[in-house]
Amino acid sequence: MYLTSFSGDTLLFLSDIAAVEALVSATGMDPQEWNTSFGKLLDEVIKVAGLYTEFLGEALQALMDEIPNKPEQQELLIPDARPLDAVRPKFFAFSVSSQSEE
Amino acid sequence: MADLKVHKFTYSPDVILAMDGDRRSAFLLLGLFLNEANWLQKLLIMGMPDERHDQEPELQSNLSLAILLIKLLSGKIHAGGERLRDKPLVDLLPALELSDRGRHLESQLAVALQKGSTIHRIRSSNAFHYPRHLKLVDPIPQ
Repeated sequence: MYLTSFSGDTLLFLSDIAAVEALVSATGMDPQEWNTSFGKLLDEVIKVAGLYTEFLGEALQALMDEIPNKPEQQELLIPDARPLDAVRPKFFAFSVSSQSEE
Repeated sequence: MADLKVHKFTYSPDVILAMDGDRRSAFLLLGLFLNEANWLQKLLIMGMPDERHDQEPELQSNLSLAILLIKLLSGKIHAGGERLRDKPLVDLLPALELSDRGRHLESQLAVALQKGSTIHRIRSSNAFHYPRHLKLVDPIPQ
């Protein structure tokens, strides 16, 4: 269990272990093989998300093609974009209100 | 790091307002489904536990984020899939001139979202619900 000095800013890791057990069991996988089952579940959700977004993208494009007036087009450049797995969200960070209380 | 090209398309408001109501709604709905699913998918990939980048306690917090996002993303995909099978989208989508790839994706997606699929099971049990009881496996993973 991890607590910061700010009341309620807590992470109970055991709850996450139990939540994985519930998630893995609900999908018919083996909770004893915790790590492998969770990895498979993650892969499956990411695979279906890929199918879903790609299909929606195709459908949206087909709808756009039906619009008789063509849109203005412009190319924008995002300089120095990073790979997704190199962008790390942080749980243990100060909130603005926490900082102002210090 | 690399430069990323983004193509911007701008329609005049008159063009959008002149669209048939169901088509305009479909345009907006598909965009909403995409915006949400893309954000959740990207956050899931960003937040996956990765010992190369993070150490305790941040590494353990990443598991928490991954679980949350798996549930939310599954719930959103399931809810979007239900709308795709519902009026007015269910009438409009077959009439669209989708590519062969688009039709193939459509049939693969239908299988991936059917009753009993992983997404359906997560949606029905964990996505927006909490179990009444939680259990720990024995031995408890470290």
